[in-house]
Amino acid sequence: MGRFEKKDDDEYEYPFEHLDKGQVVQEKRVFNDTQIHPRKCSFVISEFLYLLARGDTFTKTEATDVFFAATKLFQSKDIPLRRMTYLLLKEFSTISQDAIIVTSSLIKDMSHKIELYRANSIRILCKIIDASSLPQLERHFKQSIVEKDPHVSSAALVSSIHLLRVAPDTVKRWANEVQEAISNKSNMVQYHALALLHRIKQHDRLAVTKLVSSLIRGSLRSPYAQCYLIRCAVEVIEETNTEDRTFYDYIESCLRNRNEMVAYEAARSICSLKNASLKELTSAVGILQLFLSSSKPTLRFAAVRTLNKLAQTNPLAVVPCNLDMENLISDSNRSIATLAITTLLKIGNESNVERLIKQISNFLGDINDEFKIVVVESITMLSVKFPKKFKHLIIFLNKILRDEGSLQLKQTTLDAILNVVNHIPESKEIALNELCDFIEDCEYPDLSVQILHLLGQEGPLTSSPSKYIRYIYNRISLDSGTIRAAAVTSIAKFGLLYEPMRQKVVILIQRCLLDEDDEVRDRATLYLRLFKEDNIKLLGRILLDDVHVPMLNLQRSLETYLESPAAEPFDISKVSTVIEAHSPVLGDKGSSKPSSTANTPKAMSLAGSDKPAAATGQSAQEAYAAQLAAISNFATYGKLLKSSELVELTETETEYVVSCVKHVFQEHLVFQFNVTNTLNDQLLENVYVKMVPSNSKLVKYEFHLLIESLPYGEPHSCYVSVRIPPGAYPTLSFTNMLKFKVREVDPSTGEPDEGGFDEQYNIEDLEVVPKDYMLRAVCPNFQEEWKRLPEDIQSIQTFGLVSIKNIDDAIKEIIKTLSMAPCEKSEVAQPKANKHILYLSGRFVNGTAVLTRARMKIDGSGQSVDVELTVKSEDEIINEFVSSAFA
Amino acid sequence: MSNFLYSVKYFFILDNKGNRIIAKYYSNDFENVNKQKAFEKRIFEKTAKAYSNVIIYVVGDRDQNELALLHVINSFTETLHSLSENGINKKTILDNINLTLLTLDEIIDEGIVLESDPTVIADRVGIRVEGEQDDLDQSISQVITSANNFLKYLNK
Repeated sequence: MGRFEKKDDDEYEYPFEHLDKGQVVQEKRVFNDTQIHPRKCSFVISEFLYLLARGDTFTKTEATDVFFAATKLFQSKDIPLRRMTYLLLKEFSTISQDAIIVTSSLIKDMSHKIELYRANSIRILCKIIDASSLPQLERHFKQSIVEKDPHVSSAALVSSIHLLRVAPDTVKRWANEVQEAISNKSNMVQYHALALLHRIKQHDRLAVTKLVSSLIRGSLRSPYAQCYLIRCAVEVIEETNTEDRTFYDYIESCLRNRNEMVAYEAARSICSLKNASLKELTSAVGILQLFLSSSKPTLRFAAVRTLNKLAQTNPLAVVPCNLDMENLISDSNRSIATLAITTLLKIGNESNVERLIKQISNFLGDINDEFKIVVVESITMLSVKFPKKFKHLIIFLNKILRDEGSLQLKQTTLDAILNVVNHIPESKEIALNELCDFIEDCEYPDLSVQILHLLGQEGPLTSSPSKYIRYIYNRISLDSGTIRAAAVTSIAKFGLLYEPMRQKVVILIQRCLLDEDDEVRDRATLYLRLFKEDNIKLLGRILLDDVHVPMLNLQRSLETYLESPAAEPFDISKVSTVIEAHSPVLGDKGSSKPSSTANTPKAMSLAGSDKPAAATGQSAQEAYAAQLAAISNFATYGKLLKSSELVELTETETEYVVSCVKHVFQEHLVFQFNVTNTLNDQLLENVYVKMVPSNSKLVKYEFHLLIESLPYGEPHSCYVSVRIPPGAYPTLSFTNMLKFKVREVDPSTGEPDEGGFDEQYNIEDLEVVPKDYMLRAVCPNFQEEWKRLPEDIQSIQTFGLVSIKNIDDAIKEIIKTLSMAPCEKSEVAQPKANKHILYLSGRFVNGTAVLTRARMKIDGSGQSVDVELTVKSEDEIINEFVSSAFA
Repeated sequence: MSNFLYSVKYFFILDNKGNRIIAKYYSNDFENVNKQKAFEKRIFEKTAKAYSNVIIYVVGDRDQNELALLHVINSFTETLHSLSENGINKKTILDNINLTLLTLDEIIDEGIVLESDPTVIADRVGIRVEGEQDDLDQSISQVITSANNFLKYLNK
């Protein structure tokens, strides 16, 4: 932050503080004065521009009025006023109607003797011109591009870059002029010319390679152009897999560039190369290492950020910076310090991790909760990497838990501890001991309840269960109702799981019978009765079995039920067992980004549109069901049985972005295509997808629903419905073609042209696979169910997962292919295990419960994972069908 | 190819209470002005506060070269530096709102860096440079600190 002024300015009245739009709109009449007063007019323009920059919006009519009033100012010869007029026209051209009318005045200025006129008129022109009138101006543009004056040439080149979106074919004809501009003496012109030329040739890989290889031999001086060229060179290397070393050599030579921006661009590019060797990385890391000790914070920040990223994929390459990183732990800029710490944790080894943790503990007091959360998350990763160091990790995490902190920080920390406990069984006792101390004075009831739950679950299974009871019972005498209730349950679990203590537990529970809290008394009474009847089986179900449905779904169903109470009682079997995609059960918690960090704006803007689940908090399936129910054509289809995940059918950067969701009904498949038009100069009409099935006997085409009008940037859905025979679950693939009518749109006004033409667009094939008919469903007592299901009709098959080299990836692959829910925490393998058993459960769309067991082992060569997959259910055909996912 | 050309996504100047003084958004990531302002507030809350009554933010893509963004902020502040002896503050920005907005317009065109040399920019905007600027170096170092404060958000 610039320390520009230290004066207290609270009382100061700033200019424009109470500027009112209506008043300014009135003031624009000075533009109409017969004798134009440049100063007065300039001031009013300033006011308009300030309103825009402040965030006021103008309606189309208002903007048009302002725009046309301002065109009167072309009569004035005052240069500062003209400059302001240009800016006003440029800003209002995109909100005003019929802006194209000023074209002739601007064309006149394009050949004016003053450079400022020429440069700025072209910048406005590129905003208001459309593809059809551009060819008439070609001569002016070409002339301006090759002008010696850098102001004009730059303006023309940058405007042409913008015009590439509107009229690519016309702009492409200017390649010769642009080529000439590259040798302009001005740094900026070189840069803009290079960027435009590259963009003109973008789709011709050979031409790009030629352009880049000729320029890297040349002598571009402009730092911006050099940075751009480095990125082009990276593109050539990555896309053509060229053996030619000249591209890499160029990037490496830039490492020694005197301009820091260029040297840094070269270094970060090398670090980002997919196949960079350790030797190649060494020189890049060397430069970044120098930056680490720079006096400029931005340089240190940039370097540490790049190294942090590199450490994820190639920790070894970053090791030489160890010492410099350690110095940054105490950097006054906390972002730099935090990045340094997380980098160090990534590159740490068994021998120095202890010292590192100690070092971090020392400065914990200086950083805020948000950064602590980042640190805690990196520490969690360490537990996987160095399981032997669990003791230090637990002590460190516990220290954070004990210190002052927000609930969010403490919850993250507690989650981290639970994570360590889950991964490293040996850590259980020490973690439980620490947590016992912690609940003695924990300020957050939520956390106390979670810890009591954990104690009840794990405590009885430790070597000396009795020592935990005292801590738990203390809660009953000292804490609030919610916590007391949790404590009673926790104690009861000790009685259930550790028989020698049963008598003592009964006595403790008896003391709670007179508790003032209803919940505590109820729980105590129930447990006591069951203990006395020795009904251990029922007690076990009450205390240990989880509810058969995901809690979130249950909560939502209960809320809906309460909103409109029905006559019949609540039926838990009607609660959806589909687990949300983000469920932590999948076990990839470590890799997901914490929710505490700021959402990128992109993520926020997406949330509303095509991802209904994220926005409304209801499950994706329910959201789709509601969406489809609103369409009358599907009204007779019955209940929506399953909706697949979103399948991308195009790259995300293409002109039209298409993704698909497959919906399964009793006798129909409905394909929902979400289509986004990313071209602002096109309006699409009658958009639909033509699907051709690989086997036309399996499905029968019913109808499609098209998108009548698809403007730029707004995602809409079209549908195709096919009929399937009752009781059949066809698997097949479809080749697809997006069909539509294109109408050209003037991006400045948004008005579509008359007419238009039919067009089609290739999109990727779509497959319907077994998992499309499978719902994730939790099975609380897997082993029992597994024994119950008949063995004679089970399906067993063995196969190898080629190119999957470790158990974790194999687990993910199997879960993904079957789309079933993991049970008994079997989705978490022992660290570095070479074999593992995964239990999955699901419900077929016809309601049949399906269980699978996957035994897996890393192949001797280490190049693949062997799997034995057993599928069990009451239905042999379904067993075979589920197995066929791996056929 | 990751985008170097469209260097700047947003540019805004907030006062010491986090309220917008001026802002320019070069990409349509937000539906409306209120969402933009909410974003500005969030970033402001994360910014380490110092003595000044204005904070200048330049936001780029996460893949952007941080030093290229630093250049943008340097070009801007160095150009405006000659406006007032007190340097850049809320008053000088608003008193010279025309020159401030012209300067921004000469530096960034739809997210593309149009010019980076402060002398050239001042000339195009019509700021008369009087005498030598002795404390240029000092202002650079101040600006670097400021640039750094927004860069960290790109890492999120």
